[in-house]
Amino acid sequence: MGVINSIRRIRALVWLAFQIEANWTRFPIYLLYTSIRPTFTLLLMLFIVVAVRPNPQFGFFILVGQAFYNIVGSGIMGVAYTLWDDREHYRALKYVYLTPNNLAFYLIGRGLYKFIEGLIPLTIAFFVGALIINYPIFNLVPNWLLLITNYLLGMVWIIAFGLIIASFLIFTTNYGWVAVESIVSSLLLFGNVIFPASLLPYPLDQVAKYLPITHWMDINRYALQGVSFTSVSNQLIILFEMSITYLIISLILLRICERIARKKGLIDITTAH
Amino acid sequence: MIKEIFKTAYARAYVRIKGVNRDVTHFIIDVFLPLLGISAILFAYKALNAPNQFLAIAAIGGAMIAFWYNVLWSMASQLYWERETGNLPLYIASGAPMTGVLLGMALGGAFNMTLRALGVLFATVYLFNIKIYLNQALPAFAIFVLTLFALYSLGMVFASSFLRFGRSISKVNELLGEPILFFSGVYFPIRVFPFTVQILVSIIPLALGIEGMRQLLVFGNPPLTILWIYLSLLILGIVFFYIATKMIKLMEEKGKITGTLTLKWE
Repeated sequence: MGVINSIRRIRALVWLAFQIEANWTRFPIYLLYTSIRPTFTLLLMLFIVVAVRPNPQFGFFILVGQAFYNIVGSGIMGVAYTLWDDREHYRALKYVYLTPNNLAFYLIGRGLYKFIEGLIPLTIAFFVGALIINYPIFNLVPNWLLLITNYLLGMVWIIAFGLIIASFLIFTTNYGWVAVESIVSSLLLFGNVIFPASLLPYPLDQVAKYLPITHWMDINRYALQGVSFTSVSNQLIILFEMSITYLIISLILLRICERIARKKGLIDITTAH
Repeated sequence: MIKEIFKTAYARAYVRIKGVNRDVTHFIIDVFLPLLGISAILFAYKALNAPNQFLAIAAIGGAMIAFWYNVLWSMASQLYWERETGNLPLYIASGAPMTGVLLGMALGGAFNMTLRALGVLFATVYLFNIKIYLNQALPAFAIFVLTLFALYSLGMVFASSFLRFGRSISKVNELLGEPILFFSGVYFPIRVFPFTVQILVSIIPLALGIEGMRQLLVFGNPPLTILWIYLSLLILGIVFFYIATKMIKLMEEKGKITGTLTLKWE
């Protein structure tokens, strides 16, 4: 009963997120809108390879990295920015406490939409990018099960990052976007996204080892190339452990920060709009 | 009238410059954040064993990105936000010329972003040991000033015309963000595009400005070889500025008739 109820609530939150994101226009235009930005961001990165010299191997590295990185960015924003937007813009955050949802559940539910929506631009950007660098995409035989498993694990750690940022956003006013941008940009630099993290100088390369994105990106590339579960089992276990650890930490942190904020009356502070 | 325009521009620019620079944290953040992204690009070039020139190309383009986002988010959508927060009716009621308000927004934004762009450029040049032709700094600065003139004049056109948008303004801005950065070749030389595309992108001030600065600072070409870039930027700037002054008057008059100058939550 509890599970069914939770699924119902999640469905309602995902629907709410969809309405907030998409009801400003017609659905086909919205789809076009969601795809344009990630596609051009991917092209910006891929043309680095095009400009220097054709290099299908490195092109594939960037292609997968940047296509999936778009999910990372929008996923973190989906969770963290919801808190900021609901409080500052819509002034609706306080009303969450009048619903059967707790704050973490509400943010996760709202953020989940981004992982569904993000699949469309990811696919479009991936195909367009492959076309640009002449990568023989139809020769790929992906390990779909590994890819889906990795995507689900990705959702866990991305949501965790979103919740960690949301925990700090409860207290901040003007620096909301800074917190989000700092984490998202850091993940681009440290996360094995458009260049191998091993190229980073010491001690920056050590930072990469403790970030789930580093392993997540590798497994995405392996999965698309059809590598088996057993070949990447070590990395998969590390990713699983990291994702769960980050999630637990984020939930505890959000709980503590939320409690302090409610005591201090900061839940509905606004600075603009 | 001219005196009023400049007095208004000074007042509006003062608020923007003072507001953004009174806290040094803002400056550090604004330099540090883009640095993360640009560093990733430079590492990607290093992974490809690209010549040092590509690093310089990306560093210059990367430093200029801030201007485009500033034009979009602090110029194009500014009057919309002023309307949302209730400032726009006050501007109009005060009798201050709106051209002056727009000019002040542009001058303030350009000043703020110049400090940040220089910070980003110096940091990347130092951290990645990038070689540039410093003896071309003066002609490059001239290109830079003309680029800002054309770019912020375009921003003034956007600011006037975007007033008629509702909350979809942020979506329009997002759609204009990355595509323009891509066609401006912020991270790579625009010669990778087919010739016809190169011609088309030359109406984008950002693309022209970046290309001009690269020709001077990265390749060490003499200024006379890129005279056409100087002239194009100057013409674009004058045309955009003229359109902006006409457009803001039109939008103000139309807004008064239709009663949309105080409209919120569209």
